[in-house]
This record gives sequence, C-alpha cells and structure tokens, in this order.
Amino acid sequence: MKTISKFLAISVMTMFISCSSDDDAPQVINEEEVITTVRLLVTEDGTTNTQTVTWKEGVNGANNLPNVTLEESKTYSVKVQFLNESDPNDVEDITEEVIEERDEHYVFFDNSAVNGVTIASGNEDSIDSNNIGINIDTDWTVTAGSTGRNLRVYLIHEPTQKTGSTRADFGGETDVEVDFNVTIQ
Amino acid sequence: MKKHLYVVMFLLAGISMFSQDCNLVLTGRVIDFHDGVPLKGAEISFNNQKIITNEKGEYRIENLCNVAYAFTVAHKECNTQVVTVDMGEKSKYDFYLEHHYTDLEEVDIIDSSKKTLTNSQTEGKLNKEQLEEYSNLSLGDALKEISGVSSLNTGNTIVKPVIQGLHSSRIVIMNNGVRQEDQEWGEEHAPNIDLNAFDELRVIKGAGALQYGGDAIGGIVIGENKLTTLRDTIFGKVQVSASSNGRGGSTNGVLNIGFKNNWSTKIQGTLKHYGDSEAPEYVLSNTGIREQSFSIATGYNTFEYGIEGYYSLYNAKQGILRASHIGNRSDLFRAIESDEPLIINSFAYDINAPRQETQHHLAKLKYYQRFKNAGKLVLQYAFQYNNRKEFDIRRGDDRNKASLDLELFTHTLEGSFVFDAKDTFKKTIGIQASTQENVPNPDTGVRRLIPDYLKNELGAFATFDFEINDKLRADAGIRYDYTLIDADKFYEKDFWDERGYNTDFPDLIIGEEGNQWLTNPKFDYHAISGALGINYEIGNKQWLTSNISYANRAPNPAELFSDGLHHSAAIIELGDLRIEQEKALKWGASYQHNNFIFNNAKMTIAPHASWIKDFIVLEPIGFEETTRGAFPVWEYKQTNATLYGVDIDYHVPITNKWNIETGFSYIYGQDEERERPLIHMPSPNFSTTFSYEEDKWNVRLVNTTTLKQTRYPDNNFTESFLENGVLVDRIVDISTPPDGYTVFDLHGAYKLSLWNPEDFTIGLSITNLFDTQYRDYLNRQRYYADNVGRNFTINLKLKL
Repeated sequence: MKTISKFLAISVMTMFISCSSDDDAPQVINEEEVITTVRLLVTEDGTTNTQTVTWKEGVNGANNLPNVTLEESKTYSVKVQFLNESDPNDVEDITEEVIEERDEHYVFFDNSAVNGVTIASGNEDSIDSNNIGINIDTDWTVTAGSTGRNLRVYLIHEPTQKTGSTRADFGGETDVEVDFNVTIQ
Repeated sequence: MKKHLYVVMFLLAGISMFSQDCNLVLTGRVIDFHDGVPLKGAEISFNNQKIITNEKGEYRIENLCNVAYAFTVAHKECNTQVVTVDMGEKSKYDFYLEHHYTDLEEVDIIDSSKKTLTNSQTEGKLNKEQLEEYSNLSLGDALKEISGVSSLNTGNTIVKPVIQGLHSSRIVIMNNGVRQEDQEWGEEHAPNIDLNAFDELRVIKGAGALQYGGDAIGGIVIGENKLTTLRDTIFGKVQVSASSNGRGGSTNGVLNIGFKNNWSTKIQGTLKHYGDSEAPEYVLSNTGIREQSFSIATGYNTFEYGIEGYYSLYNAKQGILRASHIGNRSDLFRAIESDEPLIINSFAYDINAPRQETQHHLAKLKYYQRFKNAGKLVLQYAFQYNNRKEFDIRRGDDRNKASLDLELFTHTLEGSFVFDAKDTFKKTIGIQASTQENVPNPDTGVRRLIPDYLKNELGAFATFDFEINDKLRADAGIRYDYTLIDADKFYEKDFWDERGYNTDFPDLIIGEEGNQWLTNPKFDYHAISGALGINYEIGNKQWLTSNISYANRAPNPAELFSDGLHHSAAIIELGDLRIEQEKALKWGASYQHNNFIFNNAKMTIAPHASWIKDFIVLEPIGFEETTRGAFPVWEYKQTNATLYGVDIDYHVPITNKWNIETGFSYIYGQDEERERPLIHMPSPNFSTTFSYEEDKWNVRLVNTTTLKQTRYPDNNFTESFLENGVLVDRIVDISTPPDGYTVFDLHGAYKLSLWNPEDFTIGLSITNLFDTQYRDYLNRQRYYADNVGRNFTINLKLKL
C-alpha cells in the first residue's frame, strides 16, 4: 500500500513537471490565402490616364464603396488584382495563384446595375484550357447616355460553368464578392 | 510428513480413518471474502459427510480425528474451494469464499433491466447483440436506439450523440474506462471511437454519476470492452457486411482467448470502406468513408487482484458533402433556395476536400486489488493521442494542406477505492489527475482556431450508496474539480482592442509579432458537484427512481478562444475570455411498471428537467464586412436555460413470439434571458418496433417518426442581391426546421448451424424502406441535401 501511494505521488509529480514546463512560444501564423484587398487598375485606352481603385477589408463596406470614374464614349482596359495584406510587411499577390489555377477560377463582373458599360475579356487576359478568358484583364466600353451604380465583382472558385449573366449561373464558391461604385461623366 | 501422508490417503482413497481420539470438534463460520458477510446454506463436505451452515453462517463438525482433513466448501454464489485443516492445530476455523468472478465483473445480458451502473439515475443500455446490428455504422447511430438519445449529424457519417438535448462538451464518453479526449467541443467532431470495440454501451442520462466527472451536464456514454472470464478457451466472431447505398462494406473480427492461468486476451479489428451515399433523387457527392480500427486487451484477473493492459487505435477519413462547402452567405442563400445540392457528381469512391482525417490512440494500464472485509482498490493510468485534420477546398500551394491540424495529448492517472464490504452501505472514494496538451500545427497557413494550451485537472470524489430497507436504496455523491488552462494565443491587435481585452486583460500580452499580440491566458476554475437519489421498489412489479444533481462545466477552448471563420457554417465565430463555468441543476426520475395493462408489459416513464445558469450559447451579433461580402458574426454568450422533457418506453409482449416496443421523447429548451427557444433541440419523436421471433429466425419492422420542431430561435438575416440591375434584400432562412418525417426500416435474421449450433447468422436489412425524401433538423447539412435514401445491407456473422 505504501509503495503504491509512493508510486502514485511520484507519477503525478513527474507528469505535471514534464508537461507544464513552458515550451517555446508558438510560431505566428499569417493567413496565407485570405484576400484582404481587391484592386482595379483602370487605364483609358490610348492614353496614360490611369486610376487605381481599391476595396480594402476594414476600410470599405456597404456604406463606403470605392469609386471608379469613367467617361462616356471611351474605352478602358481594366486589370483586377487580389492581394493579401494581412501582414503589411509581406503583401502577397494572390492574382498569381488565380492565374496559375485559371481552370478553376473565374472573375465575374456583374454590371447589370450599370447601364451602358459592356465588359469583355481583354488582350492580356489569362486564358484557361477551354479557351475562356477568366477576366483578369478586361476591356470596358462606355456608351453614350450611361448611368453609374453598383458594380459587383466576384472571384469564383471551381465554378460549374464559365458562362452566364447572374452569379447563380456559375455555381462554385464565392472567394470574393465586393461592390464598386461606378460614376459616369 | 506423517500428516501429509494422511491427507493424501484421505484425498485419494477416501478411507475413513479411525484412531483412538476421534472426538475433536471443529467450529467456525463460512464468510464471504468480498463483504465479510457470513454465508448461510454453505455446504462443507468431507468423507461423504455434509454439513450446512446455519442462518449465521456457522457450522459445527464433530467426531473428527487428530489428522488433517480436506474440506470442500461450496456456496451457490461462490467458487468452490478445497481447504485443508489440521485438527492437531485448530479447533476453530473460518472459511472465506470468493464470489464467482463473473458475478461482479460481467453484466447479465439476459435480464438487463435491473442491472444498472447507478442506483437512481435514468439509464439506457445496448447489449452485444444490439451493437452487432450497428457494426457497420457509428457509435452515434447505435445510441439513437435508446430513448432520449438523438444525434447531431454532419451528413450521415459524422454522428454525435445528443442526450436529452445536450451534446459535445456537455457529454462525457467513457472509452473502456477512460474519459475520451478527442476535441469533442466541435459540433462536427464525431467521437473517434469504433463501437465494435465494445461489448456493451450504456447511457446515463444525468450528471449524477460523479465518479466519471463533475461536468457531464448532459450525461455519460459508457462503452465497455470485456476480457473473457472463461478459462482454457478460444472463441471469436467474424462479421462481414455489404451495403447498396455507399456501395461498400465493413468487416470486423474478435478473438477471445482465456488461458488456464487466469490470463486472458482479446483482439479486435474493424475495416470500413464506403463510397458516396445516395439520397433518393441524387448522389451525395464526396460522402464516402474509410475507417480502420484495432484494439488489443490482455489481463490477469482473479477475484483478489488483477492487472489489465489495453490499446486501441481508431483511424478514419470522412468525406463531407461537396455542396456544403460554401464561400459566403449568398452561396448559402443559393444552396438553401435550391431543392438539390448545387454540386452533384456521379458516384465515386474517392474522398476529396472537404474532408476530415482523424486518428485516436488510447493506451491504458489498470490494476485492482481486493481487501478482505473492505473492498476494492483500482489504479489506472491512461494515455491518449488524438490527431484531427480538416481539409477545405484551397488554392495554390495550400491546396493539399489541412486547414486544421490539431494534436491532443492527454495523460490521466486515477485511483479509487470501493468500500463494498457492507451491501447496505457502499462507499467509493477516488481521485483523478490529468494533464493535456493541445498542439495546433502552424504549417496549415490558417490562423489557429484553438490555440496551443496546457490543461491540468484534478478531481476528487466520494459516493455513497445505502440500503434504507428492502425496498428503498439511496445514494449520494460529492465531487471537487480543479481545472487550469494555460494557453499561448495570437490575437490580431485590432481584434484585441475591439473585444475590450486591452482594458480587461492587459497583463496577458507576452509578445508581439507584426499586427498580432502573443498572449498567455491562464484561467483556473474550481467546481463542486453533488448528487442525491433514491431507488424505491413498489411491490415487486414497479420501481421508482429519482435523482437530483448539480454539475459545473468549465468553458471549452472553442468557447474561450475561437476567433475566425467557420467554413461549413459561413459564419465568423468568436469566443470570449470572460466566459465562466456553466452551472447545471438536473432532476431526472423514472417510473417503471412491469405489468402495465398487459401481462408482463413493461412501461417506463422518465421525466427530466434542467436549470442551467450561465449556459453557453452561440448567437448572431452582427456582420463583418469582408472581401467575400458581409459575414454574419456569432459570439459565445452566457444565458440561463431551462430544459425539460420526458422519455417514455413501452414494451408489450403480445405472444411469446410477437412483440411491440414503442418509445417517445419530448424536449423543451428555453433561453430564459432572451426568452426564445434554444437552438437544435431534438423534435418530438416516436420509434416503434414490431417484431416476430422464431427459434431460427426473426423479423422486425421499425418505424421512426419525427415531428417538425416548432420551437426554434430566429437567426435569419437579410442579404442584398443584384437582381436585374437592382439591389434586392432577401431573407436567408437558416432557422426554420425542415418538415417532420416518417421512415420505415425492415430487418431480418436467420440462424444456421455450420460447425456448431447456430454459429452462422445471415441478416438482411432495408433502411428507409420506401426511399422517403426527408431532411432532419439535427443534421447540419439540411440546408444542402436530403438524408440518405433506401439502403440494402446484408450482414453475415460467424461465431468461432
């Protein structure tokens, strides 16, 4: 009985000592695949007039939409960028990953609320194995009499198809869903 | 030498010895070794003479000679012993007899109604035969057979038991004597246990069994793996089953060996392999399962002492419905609005992301020793290792990496002493110490859902069980628990301030990494739990039990620390460092009548009620704007909750071949502060079995009817959609429970004799006989898909 209680006491002690010794601090993790920022690089065709419009987590929201200003009867080349800025000292460009996996991604610009702006895959777009441009680079054409409103940008992961006119047509998961305000002068 | 010779002559020849002084007298008692009670009616035989002990266990043998006698002492409840007494040395002698080992250690399978683990708690039990029918399914599926036990599912493979409305951390699962530690806090974390490792499963529907823990607010599930008590024997069983739905099968085998010298061994293993399940109308893509488990036990057991070693391994890979992986709340809306899952692929065996890979190792060493007229000492050490990996659909380099990868190490040391010498007053005291370390793998590239932590626990309890009279038995218990959590966690600086931790917990910060604080939360909790109950026999056909218990549960790591996106629910879940212990008062009673209306018809009515202070609930508090749109934010909060309900069972033997068994359960759960129903309370449900049994075969028709849950909290929210160029607000209905349903299952079995009588059983079952389309409120995938459709299973069992 005495040996048993001795054994018990010793094992409890060793158990606690061996386990409660404070190990090294855990390694910090910065989210790797989070997209914190969506950026549109808008260039007026034939000029060097550019705008960089940014939607950033923690800054923008439904009541604070970034603004894209377009002019009637002009065409623009628009590049979209997805960034991970969760660590400001190590900004990651997620666009590269999207381009690498172009078969599984699609950028959908829902312009149904913006009258008079047509959006199509551009010259420098990234083309998937089915010969479909995934809209990383797009050409925007603004016709006369346009009015501006919400432009919703989606990045869709593993869409079930890459043609359609509403979000539901594409299936898949939504990796990005942000709104920009479009002003047409 | 002379004496020995005499003995030999006695034993071998049985010749009566006559010598000149054969007038000696031997007196004494025959006593139960186990409780020191004198045994009445014990038989002492020698030389064709038989003496029976009197009421006081006393005996008197006259006319003995001055030699050594070999007395054979027997009693119907004990092992027969041969004891040699030298009449030259003794005139008084007490014989101690041991109980049949099996009486104490084995549970009688035939009459299970009276053999319970506790005196006054409401209990349910599944025996070996019942478990064999679920050999290809999970622990949670089998436990649903017990009234008042339901399950919280993620699809059809991840099944968590729910006892009278409570689950996860509020339930304790005892895996062969060891408290299972497998990240049980998660709603989509099923117990990492193979039910084929058990010979029986019990459910205690209350917190009052304090020897298992002081925090089992919902109840306790106890699975026991038993070594054979038979000697010099080998026996076993092989079971193979194949199912149409999932197009797979399972096999399991058990081998029991009982050696001559009190050693025994049991080896058991299970394999499962299934592809996608199918709902009546479509394939449930990516819902396959693979499972491999194995256990080995070996021990030396005698009445007085024994030692046992046990090791078990569980390894599983479970697919999660592909269509349930959503990116944001508009995806959720589209999924809810659609009648079918948004992704349906053709049938496949492959298991892709999303999926879970879990592994659990358990090793234990147990020793017991009985002390004459005192009781039994049990010492046990157990080690558990759990690894849980969860894979989401990811991008880039992270594609094949787990999003969650947790390693949990738990050591437990415990000792107890049962004072059972007096059957009228039994006491048990015990102490448990455990230390646990959680190590999340930093390579996931996803911020840790729960942090690195060390948890030390120390518990001590005393329980009492006393007989007041023949009919009335009372029990009482008290327990103290100390819990210390010492965590290392990174918090994003904005978040830290937003939560007000900068003012409440400024001292916790120990480091800084970019925009994150490294903190060291250290929390301790003291808890005192208690229980009180009675068991009263009314006449000889009725029983009444009543038990009241008070239990405390320290918050789990998710409730304290979680701060991130919960993928499968498309919500952001926030823990709170300020969360206190839950305190629960539970009353449970049961009334059993063994001759209710019909002859031998057994009726059990078990009402229960719980009042839980600081009940931890997850509630929506607002939205957070992200690049995936606005995400609902849910936070762990504390409220006061009331739960009550009743479980009713009625078994009517119509003839000796026809039986009807029916059960009903109802639960009411209310959040008293917000004055609204608690989420995920099981709907009222009925289960009825009609069975017909012949010697060689039997058939059962089982109906399960679940009503629609009408009491639920409204957590709906609105989401703006672009429809034809206009922003439209739509309500995303995540709250309304699905309609009720009724499902029929048909089971049949036929016994054959191959080498031994009735050693081969062929079973056929058809579940969801009419291929009914339905969804269940307690299935987390009810938004996305129907439950599984009809399934034919053939089950072959060979006893060896």
